Amino acid sequence: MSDDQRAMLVSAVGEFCAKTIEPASALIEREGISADLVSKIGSQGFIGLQFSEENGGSNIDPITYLLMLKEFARFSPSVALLIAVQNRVSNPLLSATEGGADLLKAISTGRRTAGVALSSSSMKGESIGSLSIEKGSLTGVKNYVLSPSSDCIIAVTDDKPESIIVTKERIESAEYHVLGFRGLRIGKMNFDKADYLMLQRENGIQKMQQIWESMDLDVAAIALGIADASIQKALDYSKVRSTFGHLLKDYQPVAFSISSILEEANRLTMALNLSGDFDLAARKGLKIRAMDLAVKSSRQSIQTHGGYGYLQDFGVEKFYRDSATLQAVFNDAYSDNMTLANQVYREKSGYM
Amino acid sequence: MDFDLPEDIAQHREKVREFALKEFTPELARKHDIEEKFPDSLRKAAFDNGIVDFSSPWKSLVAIEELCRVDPGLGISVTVPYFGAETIMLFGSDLLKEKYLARVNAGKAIMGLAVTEPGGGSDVAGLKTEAKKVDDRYILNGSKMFITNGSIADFFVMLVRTSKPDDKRHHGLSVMVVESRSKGFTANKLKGKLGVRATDTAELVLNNVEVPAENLVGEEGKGFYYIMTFFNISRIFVAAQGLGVAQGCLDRTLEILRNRKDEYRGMEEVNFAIAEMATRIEASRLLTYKAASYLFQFKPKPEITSMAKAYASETAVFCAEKALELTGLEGITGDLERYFRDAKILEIWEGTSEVEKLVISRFLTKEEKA
Ligand SMILES: Cc1cc2nc3c(=O)[nH]c(=O)nc-3n(C[C@H](O)[C@H](O)[C@H](O)COP(=O)(O)OP(=O)(O)OC[C@H]3O[C@@H](n4cnc5c(N)ncnc54)[C@H](O)[C@@H]3O)c2cc1C
Repeated sequence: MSDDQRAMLVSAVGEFCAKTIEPASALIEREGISADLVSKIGSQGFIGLQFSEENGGSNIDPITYLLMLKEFARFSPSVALLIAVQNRVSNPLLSATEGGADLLKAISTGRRTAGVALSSSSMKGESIGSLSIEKGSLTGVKNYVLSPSSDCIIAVTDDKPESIIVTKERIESAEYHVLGFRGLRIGKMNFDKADYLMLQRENGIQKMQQIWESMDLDVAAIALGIADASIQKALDYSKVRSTFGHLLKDYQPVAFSISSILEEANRLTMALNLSGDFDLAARKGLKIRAMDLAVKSSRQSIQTHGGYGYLQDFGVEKFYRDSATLQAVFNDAYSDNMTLANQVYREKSGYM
Repeated sequence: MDFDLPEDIAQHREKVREFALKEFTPELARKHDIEEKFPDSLRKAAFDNGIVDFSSPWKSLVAIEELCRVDPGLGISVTVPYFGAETIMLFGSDLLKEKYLARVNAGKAIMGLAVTEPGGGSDVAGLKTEAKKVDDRYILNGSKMFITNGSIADFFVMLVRTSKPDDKRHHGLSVMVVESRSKGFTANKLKGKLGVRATDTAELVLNNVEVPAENLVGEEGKGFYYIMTFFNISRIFVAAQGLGVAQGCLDRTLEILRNRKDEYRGMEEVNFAIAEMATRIEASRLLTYKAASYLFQFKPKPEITSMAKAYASETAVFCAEKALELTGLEGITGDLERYFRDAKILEIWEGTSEVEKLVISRFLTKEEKA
């Protein structure tokens, strides 16, 4: 795809978001992403970006996909993460399963969405869940399900042989008052003889680890969207707010912080553009830096806005919440740093 | 040099901790946070139990620390009804002390301090709210922004402009007590804060509000000096809020880690992060207590106070972020997520971190400038 075509697609996302997502952003944070919004995103072809054409997707090239994801995150990190989960979790699992295509088609058009049970390598098994297959149906609990109000949930069972399943229906959940990604939420889910479709019979944990790893650049793109949008808001504000008779932009601590963050965000976005050739170490490096930058940028943006930054109306506080949540979920137990160390040393390292 | 607190202060700390652990249940903290509701019954309970004890500033300091440690939103809410009291105590007439402070000290009234305006908070001298003297009263017009207790307080200690500035912008400012039931006074509650959502915050609009001349605090035109003196006291208590928030983050992180896999608990990255949190907390505590010690002996050192306020606030934010990094899913779905949201206000209110650094550097370079 040429640079111009790529830029056109990214700006199409920007226009869509400005028209449809921006006005609803407070509502998304308060009540979650509505089915209507998902359907609008789907009808524009923005969900199945990496799905094959036969499954209703556009199979767009990975870099364009990442830049589009970043653009979504500039408006709503929750929407961006929802799209990433469908492309990186639902897509590979459902497309490799008999009977999965119909669900994928419904997902790509925004008629349905899939949520996913999260895990953590530092937590004990019982803290994560107790899902098992008994007499052909699902029983037990999953303590941390991302987007729990989705029409179906992808999860790894906690009994051997650790199968990956997708539920055939919605399951009730108790939602947490979660810090970030409130458009998606996280909930505790109780499965009581739920129907499912088998996606992979064994070695589910390993497979899910690969899947999460395949999301490294998606996470980097979302983090960069957060960093970019929040620092841009700070930049704009610093040009109009005055204290002591000077615009904020004239003060070194303000101008130096904003410009250095903005420059770093641009540099990392350049890296994202080149990430097609990246090896694992480079991908991890980019993800770690982008996640750190998202926290730093959104924190700075609140600070630059002073008291106004602390209010939801100004639209920067959600970026701070989302950036910290992204890091908490996607760099579980410093796993990215460990993988990076192993890649650099080319042997087991950094594990003690 | 003795780093231990005197016995009576240490005992008060214990008493406050017991109170907070009993009363500030996670359910209650969550409820007030979600509903953005001021915990008035807790305020009364804290008062009745002698938790907030003005007879000793050290007791107030450790109380704030311990209450915020258990929950920042509730902790600040029960200690903030007295916000601004020192201004009247130090500069107010006996009449004002009797008419207003006595009710606050008896737990019967809530007060607030109104300095910030929509156009600016850091630049205090730039405020625009006007008070015109007409006979035996002042007529106030203007607005105040982000005022804690704004929609629940009975009265406010308010900084207003009583005359045009001369060559010095901070001249011509005065402090007066403004009652919220005054005609022309409106408070619009601000909803949707990132954190400290149990505290009440409002925008105040003053439309020809009449204030009796006797409500002037101290002398006309000296308001800037009074408010800066107040900030040099209150910033120590904000530092104590920061200490509490940071310590609370460490407590909860350690509690969560106790139930994690041994490999994770043994990782150096995890342990170094904990060590870093604890070190910064201890450094903040020393700085805060040092600033408090100067102030409480009537030898205030504003640069040390500002160091304590800025450093303890930044430590709270640092610890809240680290706590989430270490606790992952449990952190973002449990009580720690509230600490994370609450912590950030400390770098903003009562002097942003940048303003504190300006104060510190100005004090250090004062002689050169002169
Ligand atoms: C929840 C809440 C409760 C509050 N309660 C009260 C209250 O009870 N009473 C009250 O009077 N106020 C209150 N405030 C207001 C608070 O004190 C102000 O928000 C704060 O002082 C900052 O002012 P501002 O928001 O106008 O930011 P601004 O002054 O506009 O500053 C914006 C940014 O620019 C930076 N900046 C400004 N000047 C400089 C400079 N020269 N050099 C470098 N950086 C600079 C600031 O540090 C900040 O990061 C409250 C605020 C909040 C959010």
